[in-house]
Amino acid sequence: MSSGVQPTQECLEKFQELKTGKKLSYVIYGLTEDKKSITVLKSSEEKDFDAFVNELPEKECRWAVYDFEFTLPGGEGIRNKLVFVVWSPDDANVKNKMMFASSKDALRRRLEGIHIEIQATDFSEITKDAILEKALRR
Amino acid sequence: MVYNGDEVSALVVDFGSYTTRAGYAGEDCPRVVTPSFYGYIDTPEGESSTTNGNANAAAEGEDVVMENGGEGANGTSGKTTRKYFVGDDGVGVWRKGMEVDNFMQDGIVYDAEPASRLLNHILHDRLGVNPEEHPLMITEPAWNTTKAREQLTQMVFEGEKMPALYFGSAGVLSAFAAGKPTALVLDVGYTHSSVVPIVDGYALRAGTMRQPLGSELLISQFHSHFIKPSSTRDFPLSLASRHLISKRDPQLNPGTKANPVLRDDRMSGTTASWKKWSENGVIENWKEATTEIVNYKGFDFNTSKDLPQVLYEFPDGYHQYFGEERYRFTEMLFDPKNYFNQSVEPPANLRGISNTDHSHSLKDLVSLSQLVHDSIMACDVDVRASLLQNIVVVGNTSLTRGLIERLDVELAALMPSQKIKIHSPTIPFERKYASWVGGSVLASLGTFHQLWVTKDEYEEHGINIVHQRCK
Repeated sequence: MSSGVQPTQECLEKFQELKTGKKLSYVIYGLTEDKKSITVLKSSEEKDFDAFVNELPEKECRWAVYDFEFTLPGGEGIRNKLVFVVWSPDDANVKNKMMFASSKDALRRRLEGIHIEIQATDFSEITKDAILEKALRR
Repeated sequence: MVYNGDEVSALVVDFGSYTTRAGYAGEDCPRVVTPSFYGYIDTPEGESSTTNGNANAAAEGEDVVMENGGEGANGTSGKTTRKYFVGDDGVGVWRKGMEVDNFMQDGIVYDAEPASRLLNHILHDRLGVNPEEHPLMITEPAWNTTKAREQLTQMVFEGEKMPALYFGSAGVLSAFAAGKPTALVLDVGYTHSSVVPIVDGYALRAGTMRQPLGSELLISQFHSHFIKPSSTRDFPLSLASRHLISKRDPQLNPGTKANPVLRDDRMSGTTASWKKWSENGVIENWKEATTEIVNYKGFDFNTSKDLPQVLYEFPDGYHQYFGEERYRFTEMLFDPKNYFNQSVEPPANLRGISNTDHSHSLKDLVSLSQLVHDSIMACDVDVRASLLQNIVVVGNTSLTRGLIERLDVELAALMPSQKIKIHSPTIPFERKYASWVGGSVLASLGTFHQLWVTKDEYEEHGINIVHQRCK
């Protein structure tokens, strides 16, 4: 079941840019004013993870793709993996949560090459460690 | 409504085992919350329906009273006319010779006739709308049957001539309303508790589990406890509801037997099914007001007498400081082996659920935590971790104080190496009416338009289009 809300072309282009260009560090997605499509709210080259997390609002839902860079244990080098973040804070209202939950699949399945998916409801669930754990597991 | 420019003015109806919720899509909570129980009186053909005199003369004049039902369900004794009484003024009003039944069974709309009466009552009398102008979303459990769907579809398109319909999966709607495309939804309701794993907005059939462990079973255990003397009470309780009492017994000390003045005029005309229904209502109120769940396993109810007590007064005037009884019975939700008393006759409608891969019968009830565990284990390894970190608990019975805390403790003990996180809506009505609330938002979206099954499509393609689109 889904809301029928679809991503704009820009959403996919920004994702491609992030994936292939190796310049962008993250893209944050949200809904348009009229709540009828998914749009890019911000994209940035800022690599700092905390700066990225700070961009997530306390009372509103978002989706984001973050290019996660990490070092393999035992000095095996540096790797990058794309993380898809579903940000649904407890303090967001039901309508907002519902809109985002029921539209997520429309965006997610159009983005190829995501390795890790995180569904977070508060800042304790979206930490470097949590992502690193998932990154190393696969 | 803020969310979409083009208003679709859809309605949402959520048929539940205890109450049915209905209202306008886009609103925060349902306008109508009304019993899924209904009353009926059978009159043999020929005998004109007797006016019942006294207090219900007014009630008899209501719109809910319709006189062409019958459908020959029990056609053995010749022809009878069945009069239905639905909605708040249905079972909630005492009528001479009125029997009580419920059109839901196992979470599914089972008896189409009274259900359609209720839908009609909701649309015309309660919401006061012209059904031909409003699309309708109906919620359904993950295990809904084809038959029930077909009957509801006919009811909506052929009976009420509504322009469009959609069946929303209750579990998915509850997960969405909690902001989660992926979640494990534990619904503890009236007739049963169920677990439905949802991954990216779709319910996984494999992990869907249910069992008849809910309020109704608890109430039947309480009923048997209250109508017998107990260790702290040397007389049975009357459990008489306010309908049957003309004057309650006022100046009593706690714990002494109440001697209310009963309505003698109603004694002979009260049916056994109505009496049971009203007594269950009295217990339900007591249960909601007082019961709690202890927060760890293996509590010894025999030796501990120092559990906190609360004062509660029954409609007949009996009042008492309740302590141990508030905790001991609800222990059944987490330890059915030891706390479900099988010698107490369970309600007949709960015996319908049999043992399968997806359900437990009354004889094989498991704790809520075990049900969650079994559901997780039936799911693909890849999704288990994210399901465990997104457990959403809904349903009226889940509001029992201490239930969430206890579930947390039990799950941690059952799966010690796993990260488990329970999310439960903090506002009670969002928990009680989770699937309605979810349906309300979804059905109000302009973009959801494309998913509605319209009346024209139904007339052209038949029922298959419903099965195809509502997944």
